Amino acid sequence: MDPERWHEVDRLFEEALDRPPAERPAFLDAACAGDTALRRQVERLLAADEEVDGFLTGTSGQLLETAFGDGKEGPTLSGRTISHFRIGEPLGSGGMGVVYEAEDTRLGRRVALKFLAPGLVRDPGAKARFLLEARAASALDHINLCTVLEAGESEDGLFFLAMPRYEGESLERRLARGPLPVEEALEIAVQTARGLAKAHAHGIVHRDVKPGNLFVTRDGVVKILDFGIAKLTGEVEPTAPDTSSYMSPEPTRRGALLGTPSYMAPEQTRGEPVDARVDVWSLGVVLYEMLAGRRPFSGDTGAAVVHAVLHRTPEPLTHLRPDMPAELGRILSRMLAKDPGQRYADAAEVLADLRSALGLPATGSSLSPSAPRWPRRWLGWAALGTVVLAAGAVLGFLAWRRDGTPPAPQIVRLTDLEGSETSPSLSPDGTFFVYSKKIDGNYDLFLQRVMGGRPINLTADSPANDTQPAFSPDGQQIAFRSAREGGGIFLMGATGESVKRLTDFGFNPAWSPDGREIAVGTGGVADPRSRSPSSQIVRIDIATGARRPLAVQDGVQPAWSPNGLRIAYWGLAQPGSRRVIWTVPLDGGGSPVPVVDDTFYNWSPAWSPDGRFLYFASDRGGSMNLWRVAVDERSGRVLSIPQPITASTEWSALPSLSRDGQRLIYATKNSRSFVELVPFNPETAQVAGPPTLAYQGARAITSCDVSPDGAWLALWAASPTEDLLLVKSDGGDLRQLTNDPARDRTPYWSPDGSRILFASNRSGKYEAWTIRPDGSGLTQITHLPDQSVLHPFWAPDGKRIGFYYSSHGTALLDLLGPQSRPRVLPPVEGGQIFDGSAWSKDGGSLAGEMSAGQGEGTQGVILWSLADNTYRRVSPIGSNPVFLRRGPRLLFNEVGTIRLADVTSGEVRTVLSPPPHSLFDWVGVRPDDRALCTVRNTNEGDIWSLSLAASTTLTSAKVVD
Amino acid sequence: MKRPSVTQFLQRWSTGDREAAEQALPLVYDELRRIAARELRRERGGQTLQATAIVHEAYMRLAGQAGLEWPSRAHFLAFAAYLIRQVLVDHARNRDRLKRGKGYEKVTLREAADLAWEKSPDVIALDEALSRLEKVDPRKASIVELKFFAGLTLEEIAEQLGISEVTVSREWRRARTWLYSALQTNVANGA
Repeated sequence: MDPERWHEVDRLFEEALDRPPAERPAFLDAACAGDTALRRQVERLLAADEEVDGFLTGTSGQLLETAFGDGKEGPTLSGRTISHFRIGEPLGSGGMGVVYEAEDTRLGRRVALKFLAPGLVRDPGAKARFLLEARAASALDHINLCTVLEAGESEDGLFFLAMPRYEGESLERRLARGPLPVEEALEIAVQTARGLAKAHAHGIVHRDVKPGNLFVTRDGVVKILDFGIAKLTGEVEPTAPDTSSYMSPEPTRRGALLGTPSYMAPEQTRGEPVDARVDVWSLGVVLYEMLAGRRPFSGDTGAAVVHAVLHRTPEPLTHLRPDMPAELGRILSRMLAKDPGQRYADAAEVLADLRSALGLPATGSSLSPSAPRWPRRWLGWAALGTVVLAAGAVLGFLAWRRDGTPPAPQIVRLTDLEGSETSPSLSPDGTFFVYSKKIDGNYDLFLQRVMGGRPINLTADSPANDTQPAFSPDGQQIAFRSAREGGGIFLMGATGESVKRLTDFGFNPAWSPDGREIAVGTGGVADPRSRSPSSQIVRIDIATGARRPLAVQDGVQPAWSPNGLRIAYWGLAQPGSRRVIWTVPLDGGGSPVPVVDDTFYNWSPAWSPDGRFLYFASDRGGSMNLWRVAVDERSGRVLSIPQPITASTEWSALPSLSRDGQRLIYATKNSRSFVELVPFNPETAQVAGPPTLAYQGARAITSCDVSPDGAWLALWAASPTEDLLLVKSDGGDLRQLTNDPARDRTPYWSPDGSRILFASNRSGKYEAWTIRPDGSGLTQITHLPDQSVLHPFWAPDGKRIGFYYSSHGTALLDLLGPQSRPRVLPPVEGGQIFDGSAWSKDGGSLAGEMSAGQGEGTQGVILWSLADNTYRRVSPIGSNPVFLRRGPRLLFNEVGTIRLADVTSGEVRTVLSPPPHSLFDWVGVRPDDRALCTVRNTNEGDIWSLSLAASTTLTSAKVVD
Repeated sequence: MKRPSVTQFLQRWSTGDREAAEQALPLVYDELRRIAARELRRERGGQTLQATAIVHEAYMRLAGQAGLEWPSRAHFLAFAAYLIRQVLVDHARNRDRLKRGKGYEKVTLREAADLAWEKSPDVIALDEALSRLEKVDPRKASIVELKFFAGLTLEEIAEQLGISEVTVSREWRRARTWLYSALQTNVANGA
């Protein structure tokens, strides 16, 4: 528009307005003097003036309400009760609204309530979308996604989300203190990728991944916040680069209104359609920032940031962090590819690369520089043929090519609930599966469709643990182990009806192919690491109840061969307590034939339906995975070496196959350990302050012991190999004390701190050993025949040790006496075994568990007096007792809670209850009694499905989920 | 990164440096937003938010801050008006993306539109038209900014711009009509 022309139009318009409408045409005739364009423009304005009434009459107030009214500071709600939430103090304001602490008065739990900005949810459409999204988000149950407990609307129209209250801090706050150690950054990235992968698998894109939305709990668990909300509001959509110039260099200080270009993918800044790849980009930016301590794309203004995002290549991290693994640089550059086509397709791909390329142990947690990097062990298998590690997802998939181009097998996650789903059994037709899961304090059995659907609790009415389900061959019944009414094997209909008892003993029921008999082990097993000493395999006739034991030395987890010729099982073989898988013929005409007999943990056998293969779980590849061997069902002869079936970094075991052999389902497990030091007041025998984290990671810490000077902790790590770790009490200086295939367990500091006593099978069977804290001076202390020497412990004078001499009971050994022989303590009345594990500081008593030798766990905590050679019961349940220095007082673990027993008064009370979703596994005490060392493990376990091609000829795997 | 002080921003703004506004925005924006949020919590008896109240209060607060040399109230009001315009445009752009379903589930215009928004002018088109007006007739554009975006009365605007209220009234009428016409033309042309 030409200014001169404009002013001419404007002047004529003004003059015309001053005249009555009737006179205007004549005025314009004269004024425009034949300039018809000019006249038309003025006429158009005059016409507009007739209609303009109402236009821009108000002010921008109403618009402002929408724009500003996102409740950044929120309504003042403290003290109010909304729905069943009593609202407390505000906790802060997030991107989309204000967050309050609140009490769920119905369930008595503390929650965080996020109130959505009123401006975001004004109209009915937005309300509906909000609820829809909140529900979708709440359906995404994953440890790394912030769970939405509830979404609702108050009477006065405030929308809220109820979420668990996490303790910790946002990554944004953490980053304010500077860059992170490589291990910590990777840990956060891996966990974030896990959460995002889950969402991506469900077609949900976060769109606003940034440090402010990543919350790191005190336990080191990443929780991704505001899932689904970004999509709802559209508030995170950026403005186009040319108009975004007023974005501030500190986007998080402002509302979401202006967006956060620093973390936006190029296509996002252009306002183009987005998919999972924008989250990949944002995660890449976050990872870069964690390592570099600054963002890869920056600028003084929003426009400058956007320009950098679109055109600039970030400074290579290797310049900034020489300690960073080189692979990480490649992964980052793929995450930050400007062209989404060049980027990882979704977070699962990132996760797979982060894990496998970096060789992260087990679950990708807590990289220790000396930790073994198991994938390298696979190199040996390459010789078998074409072995391809799939980098598709959490699981890799291995196999060997035979011929042609086979259909790609698929690995699909069937369950992903919080907590652990385990012991799956697939219905013979492959359409349903049943599994065991702990809910409300006890294990129940759940039935679920393989193709998706809600789990149905089949045993909701039973307060006892129901576990180890097995579908009958016709799919009509489920046999299972239940602890109800004294425990035993029960049968029920496939949908949970008509429960009836079959036996009052037994574990891991297995059906005969004709459905008439069930085989059980008299001992149970959940993990091959811990086994009761002896178990028999017994056949039970369902119709008559008649029992027939098999002629085996020791056996658990029976599996009936498809033609009813043999039963496979596994058992302990001496020396070394080897976990050996056997098959035994059922016609009575032969002895057991070993299938896999080596030093690895071989267990959980399952037959292929054609009887040609025996599938099993083994840690022979480094971590627990599924394998199979070809066997002759008739003779039990082994026809091949073990062949890998899964190559997951997650613990994978407990296979179950469909009748057509096309589908195999199995359980995975993913544990995290937390070792904490808890200040303790020995006078009041109470916790005296918040814990400090000394270690966290995926190495399945099983025990901990504090050095005499209190500076160091010795840990028993049980994954991926059983080794001893040392870490400073403040969490620094993590070292691997032993690092070899031998199983090293239960380290104990000598009273003078010079040596660490532990149990190890490095000589072929478990014996007591010592090693110096610097890793030198490895010495075998005991040389005993037959039974294992387990969890040895020091006498306070350092001259004697005690240990658990397996079924002999507890034994004491004088280290100084020449050729001294161990003194075995007598059994407890009733023939039970004393399983001692601690020596009192005054030297006068031992504490331990009372063990029935087999069956379900120990029978409580018991004390042995060396003075008068008597036992004294302390608590009917409990394990791993330790003495406090003063008074005859014991700390022990009672089903995940730490309890204290005063032996004199007989009083037993709780000292420390575990945080939600976890249990204490171990308690140790610092020699000055002023701190407890606790070990907690959280378990996440899922059921997966693997489609087996007819001949299992695989090239690369296609991975779903 | 170290940020320049508020005073520096505002001084630059006062010397006609519109670039400064781009950087000053977050500072003043926070204040505006805080006040707006508080106003929203208040019982307003069905009244909509008053932009002018927010702008005035923001001025009081920012001007009252120690060490802050605000050039003049007039400058602040002009700045605030400009700011609010930018904020609304930005907000509208985001809304628009939602409406057009870029990357979102398909929804009809009616379903997606915020009701409050629906009754209001197309802010983006208004902004574009206003930008054109600004180039040929800055005073009219200022009047529109102050009147509509900052919510000032004609009298206040007259005082602000140092012209008579009658002039402001006449200019406002013509500016408004021209903008209306420009927006109608956009619609007719399918823009």
